[in-house]
Amino acid sequence: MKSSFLPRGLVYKEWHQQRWMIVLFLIATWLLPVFGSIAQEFVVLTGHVSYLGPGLSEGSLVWFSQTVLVNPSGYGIGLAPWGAALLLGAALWSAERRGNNLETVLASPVSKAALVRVKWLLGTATIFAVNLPGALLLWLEARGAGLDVNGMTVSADVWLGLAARWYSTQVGMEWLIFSLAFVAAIGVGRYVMSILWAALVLFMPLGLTAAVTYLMQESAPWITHYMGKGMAGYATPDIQALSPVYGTLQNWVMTLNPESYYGTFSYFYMPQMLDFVLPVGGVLSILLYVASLVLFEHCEMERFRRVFCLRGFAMSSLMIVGVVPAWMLGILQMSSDVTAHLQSMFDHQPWHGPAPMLVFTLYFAGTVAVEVLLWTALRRFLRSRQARREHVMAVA
Amino acid sequence: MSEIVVTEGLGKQYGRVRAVQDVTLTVSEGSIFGIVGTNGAGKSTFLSMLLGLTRPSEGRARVLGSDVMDRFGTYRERVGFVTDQDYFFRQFSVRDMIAWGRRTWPRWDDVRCRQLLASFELPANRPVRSLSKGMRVQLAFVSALSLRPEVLILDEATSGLDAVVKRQILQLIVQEAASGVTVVMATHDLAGLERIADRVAFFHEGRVVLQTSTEEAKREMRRIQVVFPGGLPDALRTAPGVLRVEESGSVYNVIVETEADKVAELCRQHGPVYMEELEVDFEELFVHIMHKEGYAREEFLLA
Repeated sequence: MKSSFLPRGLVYKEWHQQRWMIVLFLIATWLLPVFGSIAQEFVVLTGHVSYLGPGLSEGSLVWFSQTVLVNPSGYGIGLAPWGAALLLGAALWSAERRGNNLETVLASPVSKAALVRVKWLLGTATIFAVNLPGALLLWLEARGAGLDVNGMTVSADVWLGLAARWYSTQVGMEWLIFSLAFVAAIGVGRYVMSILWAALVLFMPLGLTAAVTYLMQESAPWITHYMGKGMAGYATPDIQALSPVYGTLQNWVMTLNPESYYGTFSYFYMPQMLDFVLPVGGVLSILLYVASLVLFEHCEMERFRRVFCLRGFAMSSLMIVGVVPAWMLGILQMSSDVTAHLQSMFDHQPWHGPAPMLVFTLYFAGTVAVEVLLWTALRRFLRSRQARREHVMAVA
Repeated sequence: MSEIVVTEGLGKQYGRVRAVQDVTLTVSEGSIFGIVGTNGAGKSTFLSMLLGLTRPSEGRARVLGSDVMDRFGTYRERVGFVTDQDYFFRQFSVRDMIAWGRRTWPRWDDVRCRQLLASFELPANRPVRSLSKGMRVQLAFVSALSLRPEVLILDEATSGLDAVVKRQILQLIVQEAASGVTVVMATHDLAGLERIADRVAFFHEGRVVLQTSTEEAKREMRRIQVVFPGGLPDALRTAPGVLRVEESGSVYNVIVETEADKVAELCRQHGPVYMEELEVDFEELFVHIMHKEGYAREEFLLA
């Protein structure tokens, strides 16, 4: 006998457990725009239009769509929902890992696949629903282009395709971010670690391409001065000319990266590539969903009633999460800064010592050491808090 | 009487650790089957495999005729589960947990649920995180029994409860078994188990070292309580079958594993002023079995 596609009990449980997270998502997406719109409406209605400066004297709908949705750099609508998508993906699993909830759910007549399915669909539906009002407003404005509202003409800067493009891009990115955090949360099992992992995966391509480009460029001072003997300096076009794959990959990676996406949008310039964000994000999200299913199917309720999908993953991921930024920062910042500093110290004469690498190594080791110390302190704190709670419960 | 739970060579290995090995047992319909063992003996892992939560490394298990690794776990529609662990969803109230149960188990019985809630006097609006341990266990039983189970799997369900609640829960278990529900319970409450279990399996290091009926288990050992005018004769201390002698004032408790009748006859030959043959309790039997299996130091176990 097969279980139902969306078991009612699971839907009820997930909604009940996650509804506040969904509200948080809604707030993260719409708090600033709504406040801004209300403020704008107030300013326009009370006749203080001049306070807003040139180009912002239209009704709140136009202001809202142009300033907040399309040009979000000043209002943060782009980044806040991505953060919320990360939190939602991680929260859907962390709720189960507090206490013994996963054991409770899996002891009921539901399959593991149904549990993954319900959670992922709830997150997906949330993302699609929460962004709908923005697209509707853009669509409304496009419908009203050229109309006279409160004595002002609605501009034709917004068109119907823009609404669809805005919606698909926003949803595509959030969906991908959510799915990444979702699969990471299954594997890692800890709330903070799954968020860190997802963020690392999201920003790693940008960091790696930037690092590779920077490290091999002839303009990198440490190469020319200190390591030039064994390593030729290249210009960016030279690197891209090494292989057509690299250039294509770099473009895709840069476009699908949150930072460049955000930057592109903030200039109200949307290249055709952004039209692929939803299809690509969607396909990747579905692949990540399949990965979640496979991973969770192989999860077991292991000893001590803890779920370990990937043993030792939390600690190793901490190291990776800590080491990689340290490595990148160490190279990108310290090498150039310290080199410049040393150059000035030695009166612009090339210095043939190992100082930059030494500084980088110290930086690297120091960062990891600090992380380990912080992690140990955090674990001790959490354990003592848990022990206190158990003591209180036992007394009660 | 049909066999509701059947395991054949069931085992679970975690890396190099064999948590459960070669467990073969059957549990009959309407019986209460106890599982006892030291901490880490594999009891919870065994129950976890019965619920399909843990994948067996070897052997197989069937509950209500279904393989426990059935992908959809539909047999769990008829299985109630109670554990001493944090069982409930933190954000939920008692009412929410009941609502979740109603939507999850197709055989859910609302009338029975209301009766049980009323008998336990559980407040419907209270968040489960604010309930005492006893109330949580009661709520877990309400959930497990309202789904009209054919099998009840209890993992340390009575641990940490006060005597009143424990007695209430044990009575409930007996009533359920009397109505045809099969109960498999792992517990450290040997006195409670002794009162209600039909059969019992002793686990040690993942293996079943003894599987027997409660009555047979008690016959494994005897206690002969005797008082001699001049102290215990040396011949009794060294007689075959005598495990040990406990002294309490002028009263001697001679613990006998085998040949109890011969030891009793030997006592009589030495003219005791008082003599009585008693059954040993489960705790005694448990300690004895653990001792035989080499668990802990002798002086510690037999103190």
